[in-house]
Order: sequence, then C-alpha cells, then structure tokens
Amino acid sequence: MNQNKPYPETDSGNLSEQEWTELDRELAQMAEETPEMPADFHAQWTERIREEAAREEEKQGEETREKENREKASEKKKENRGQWRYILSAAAVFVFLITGTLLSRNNRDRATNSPIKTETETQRTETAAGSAAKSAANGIAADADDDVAVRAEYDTLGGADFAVPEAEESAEAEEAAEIRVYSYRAEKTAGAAEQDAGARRDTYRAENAAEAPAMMAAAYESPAENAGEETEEAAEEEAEREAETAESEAPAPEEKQEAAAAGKAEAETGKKTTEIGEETISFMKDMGRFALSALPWVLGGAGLAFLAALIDRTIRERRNRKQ
Amino acid sequence: MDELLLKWAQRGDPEAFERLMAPLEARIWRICWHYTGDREAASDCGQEAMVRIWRGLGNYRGECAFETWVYRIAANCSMDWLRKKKRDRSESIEPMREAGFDPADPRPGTEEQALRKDEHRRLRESIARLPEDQREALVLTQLEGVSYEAAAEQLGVSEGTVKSRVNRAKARLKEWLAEDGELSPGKSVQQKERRDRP
Repeated sequence: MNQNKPYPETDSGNLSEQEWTELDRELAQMAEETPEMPADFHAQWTERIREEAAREEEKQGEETREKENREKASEKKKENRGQWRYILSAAAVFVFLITGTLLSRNNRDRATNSPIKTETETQRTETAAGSAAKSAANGIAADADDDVAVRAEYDTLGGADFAVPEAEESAEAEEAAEIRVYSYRAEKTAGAAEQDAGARRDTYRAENAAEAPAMMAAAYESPAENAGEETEEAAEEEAEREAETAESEAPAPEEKQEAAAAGKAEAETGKKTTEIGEETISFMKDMGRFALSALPWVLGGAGLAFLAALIDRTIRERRNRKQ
Repeated sequence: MDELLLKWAQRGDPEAFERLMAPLEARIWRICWHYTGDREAASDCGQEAMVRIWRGLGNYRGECAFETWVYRIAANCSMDWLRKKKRDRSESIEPMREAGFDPADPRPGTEEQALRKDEHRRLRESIARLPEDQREALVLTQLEGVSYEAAAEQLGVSEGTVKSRVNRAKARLKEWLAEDGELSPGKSVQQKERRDRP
C-alpha cells in the first residue's frame, strides 16, 4: 500500500538502515492491516447530519420567532413610550399655558383693583361724566327756543342724576342725558302749546262775553259803525280760528302721554342697543388683552415644546446609531 | 471538490454536504482507524468528524485545501477520543492494575497477534504524540499511501518539506519506541518467549 520510500538524508542521522527498515515495515504492516470501511458508515454519518440539520432548522426557527417576538415587544414598548411622552409633553405645555395665563391675569386684575388706581379712575370717570352731562345739557339748551328755562329745569331735574354718583362711563351718561333732554323738551313743547292755546281761548271768550251784546246793538243802530264793528268782528273771528288752530295743533293729553311713552320706549331700546354694543366692545377688548397677556406664555410654551421635541429626536437618533 | 456543492453545503443543504463528503468518507474513516485502532471507535470518530465538519463548514474560508481541513478535523476527533480513552483507563483500569489485577484480552487470537497489536497500539500512541505537521505528513504518506507529491499539494507545502517532516516523525517514533522496548514484533515475540521459558 505504501509506495513511498524512506528518506535517508534526514536530520535523524542516528538511525541505522536496519532501524529505518524496521519502522517502515511496521508502518506498512499497519497500513496493510487497515480494515475496510464499514458499509453502514455512510448511512450512520448521513443520518447524523440530517438530524443535525433538522435540529439547526428548529433552533433557527425558534430563534427567529424569539427575535420577532422581541422586536415586536420592543416596538410596542417604543410606541407606548413615544405615545406617553407625547401625551405628557402636551399636558405639560397645556398646564404651563393655563397656569401662566391665569397668573398673568390675576396680576393684571390685582393691579387694576389697587386702591390708588381705583380712586384716580373714579375721579376721572366722575369728571368725564360730569362734563359729558354738562355739555349735553348745554348743547340741547342752546338749540331750544327756551334754552334758559330748559337748562334751568334740566339742571334741576335730571342733570344732577346723570352726573357721577354711580360713576358711569362718559358715553353712557351722554346718551342718557340726550335721551332725557329730548323727552323733556317734547313734553315741554307740548305743555307750552297747550298753555298758549288755553290762554288765547280764555281771552277770546272773555272779550266775546263783554262785547257781543254791545256790538249787536251798534249794528242795528248805525251801518257805518257796523262796518267798523264788522272789521273788529272779523279780527276776532280770525283770532278765534287761530286759537282753534293752536288748540288743534297742541297735542291732547293722551297724545302727549303716548308720545312720552314712545319716546321712553325708543330711549330704552336705544339704551339696550348701546349697552349690548358696549358689552361686545368691552368683551372684545378683554379678549384682546387676554390674548396679549397670554402671548408670551404661548411663545414660551411653544419654545419649550420645540426644545423637548429636539431633545427627544437627538436621543432617538443616538439610540438608533447604537443599535 | 465541487465549489458549487461546497457553497450549497455551506448554506445548510444536507444533501449537498452528503455529495461533497462521499468521496472523502473512506479516507476519513481510515485516518480515524489509524489513530484509534478500533473499528467502532473509528466509526464513532468518523461520524463525530463529519458532524464537526458540517457545523464548521460556514467558517471554512478556503485558506487551505478542503481535504487538508477535513483530515485535520478527523485527526483532532481521533486525538480527542484517544485522550478520553486514556483518561477513562487511568480512572478505571490503572488503579486496578496497580492493585494487581491484569485483565485478559477478551478477543481470541494468537500470542503473536496480541503482541503485534500491542506494538501497533504503542506505535499509534506515539504517532498521536507527534507534532501536527509531522503527524499529517506521516499518516498521509506512510499509512494512507499518498505520494509525496500529492501530499505536498494537499498540505500546501513543497514536496521536500513533506519528506523532511516524514523523516523527522520517523526519527521521533523510533526514539520513543526504543525507550519502551524493541521495535520489531518478531523481536518482541522472541523476548517474550525467552521471558516465559523456565
């Protein structure tokens, strides 16, 4: 079996030729005595390899499943963590904004309600209301025919009411003063006309009562005189017509009441409209002030949220890089 | 060796592995037998070697010839078996021998055959003690009958290197065997006869 000859030229020069031969023979015997490979060796090792392959497949499948499960679990964890983080940051920003806004509002209210400021503002309001009422009264009195009387009466009756005690706002006081003055003037005009008509009627009746019999007699006695009397009579008639006209022009007491009621209703409607408008304006002003006061907090909150998002992103990027 | 089969086997195809290893199985078994000197042990070592080759196939990068890599694994398996056997014997039989117990050889055969087997066992044990490069060269050329040229190609060295390794291995074997007694089985038999004579 062994075709290779021993190699005599070696570093083991101590070995004799006989020793070489003996060793070679020994090795050759060993080689010759090598038995044949068992027939079932192939089947044995192939079976073992198949078992091994099946075991590896199973192991790999389990590992893959475990890995998938782990990945799923970690993804879920990440998702939950992310959700919670977003919810918490949003809640923090919300709380920050609300708290900040409330605090700033409280500070503003405290500053508004401070004693010094209140006093000053009251004085200012009083002055404004008084001047408004006065100017309204003055203007109306100037327009009226009997401005002196109207003003005097107005001052006595209503002007003082509008001036200040409740420290109303100037525009409202002006409006109310105007409405009252108009009502008062209408009443006054109606009363004056009535008085005038009554006076004229009385005068005419008195004259008629005294002069009518004499006039009748004179007419029978002389035509020339009658002519003069006729002239007087015509004048009287004319005066009477005028009186009637004046009487008819002057409103009756019922009409007067109706006009007063209508004026009052109109004034009330106007007042209500004005009040609504005022309320709307004040609401809008409040909202504007509120928005202005909340603006720094909103900006601060937005800045914080941006910062938090930036930090979160940086941390995630680092984690991804590590993974 | 078929490269394609190797790739398929590396991917975990057992059929490709079977086809790849079929031409090498006989030599693997013989190498195991040379080390162990026992049919059953050679079969066990051969199977173990096949499994190790299968498991380690993914790590084979073609740095040496595939056959060399395979034979080394078979030799290592056989060496492990020998070490284990030695350990077991020292644990079980040696204390008994020290106590005066001499177990008889259960297998039938002449005394000369027994002595020759003993000689071969000692020779195999000495071969197992050799350095790996010398052992590979000796087993391939002296026991497997591979020519120096083919062995050099298989081991990836020059033919002269193979020859040198073989001679050095032989010299060591000779020394070790001379320390234990005579090399020739004939001489051993004569010595035995002389010892047994009254």
